[in-house]
Amino acid sequence: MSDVADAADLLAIARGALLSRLVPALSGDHRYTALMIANAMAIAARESAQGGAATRREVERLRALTADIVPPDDPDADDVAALRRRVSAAIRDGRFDDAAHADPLLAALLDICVDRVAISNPKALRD
Amino acid sequence: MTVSAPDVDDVATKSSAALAAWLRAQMDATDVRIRCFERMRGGAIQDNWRLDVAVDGGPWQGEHAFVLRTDAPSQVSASLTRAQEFAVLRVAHDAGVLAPAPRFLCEDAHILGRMFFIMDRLPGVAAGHRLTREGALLPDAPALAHALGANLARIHALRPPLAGMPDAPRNPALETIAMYRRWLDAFDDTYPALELGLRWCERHAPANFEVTLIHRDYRTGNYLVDDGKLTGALDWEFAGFGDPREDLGWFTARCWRFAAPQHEAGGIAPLAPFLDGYASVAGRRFSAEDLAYWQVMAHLRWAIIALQQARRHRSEPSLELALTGWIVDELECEALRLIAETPA
Repeated sequence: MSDVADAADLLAIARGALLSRLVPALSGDHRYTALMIANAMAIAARESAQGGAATRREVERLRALTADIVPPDDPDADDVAALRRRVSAAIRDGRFDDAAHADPLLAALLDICVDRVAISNPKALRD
Repeated sequence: MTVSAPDVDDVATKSSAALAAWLRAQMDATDVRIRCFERMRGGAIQDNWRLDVAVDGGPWQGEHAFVLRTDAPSQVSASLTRAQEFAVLRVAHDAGVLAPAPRFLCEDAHILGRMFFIMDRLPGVAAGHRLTREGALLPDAPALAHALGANLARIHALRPPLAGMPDAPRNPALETIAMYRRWLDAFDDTYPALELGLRWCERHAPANFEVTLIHRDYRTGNYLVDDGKLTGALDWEFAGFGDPREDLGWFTARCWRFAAPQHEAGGIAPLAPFLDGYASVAGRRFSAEDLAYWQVMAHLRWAIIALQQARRHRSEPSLELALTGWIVDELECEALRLIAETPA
């Protein structure tokens, strides 16, 4: 363990101080703003801890969905934005309409969303 | 809450005299004194100002509590102008819908720098996080849900055309989907979950529908409750013609239940009293399938509007707008779950 707090520690301790020492002394709009700041800090902390892995899983899932519509040597195979664009266009064109495609699509997009919600608002996760 | 533009408080001071003079003419009064003119917390899109006046002479003689509503510096796609909102509020109010009575419209941008209108300030609490958490505010929640359903049905009794309002759609669901796709196409990124939702809505679009006036933002947080009773529906800026079930889906969607997702009627009550209230005026009851379809649409709509707000943060940095972008995942998730739960 290093001697000095790392980025995640620093964010956590700062957020803790905001919530335990400042928020109780605030009311009205100031309290609301402080709670929004605490929420933003929590999201940023989760994003930096989990965001990279979530994006890698999303790339895998989107690549599996598009396996039969793109060549295996696709140069954008690891680019999440390009994969999203391709899947989005294919959905709008009706290429995922039949059950053989629709069910895996829905399952994969739900998995991707659940990973993202674990970062943006884990309290909203059900089941 | 949106962080105020730097000139906002200035506007209030400088404009009070101009506003008082304008009101004096509108009210045919000998004198109008402005007791209070201050910004109210709320809408990221419209600015609402608390306006208390004392009037001497003429038909408005006495003290009045108003809300002055004006455009915020930036607008969201598809919102009405203040003149249109004033007109629709007038029609709705005259038809017996519980809503603030619209009083004066000012299309002259010289008075306050922007168009505005003035309406009665109704008593009550609107905050969704309070109404869904503080039981004391809702001594009879089913009765309130009933009143909300009845009030919504009174809005839906209004049919096209209405002067000044955009034309009625020929197929509300399909035209709504086309509009949402245009909004999505204006973004730099693409959103597969939203595309799936829209494609599903396209393939399941209702074959039978009516077209009525709809409010398009009728949900907890946008109505006032005073002493447990509904006093009025607020925020008419998205009103227009559409499928009335869109409003029921929006009202009952999980994303508008705040602290009480178990209460399907806006986080305040079970579904039944809300639908009973609606049926008591409309004479018909919509099914759970109707609501499920429009709840999917509700989550898609809110997700796309949230993305628009998140983008505004780039030109108009705001913590609230930036955080709004982070609710999109949750909204997508809910839309996909509803689709997964709906029999094919």
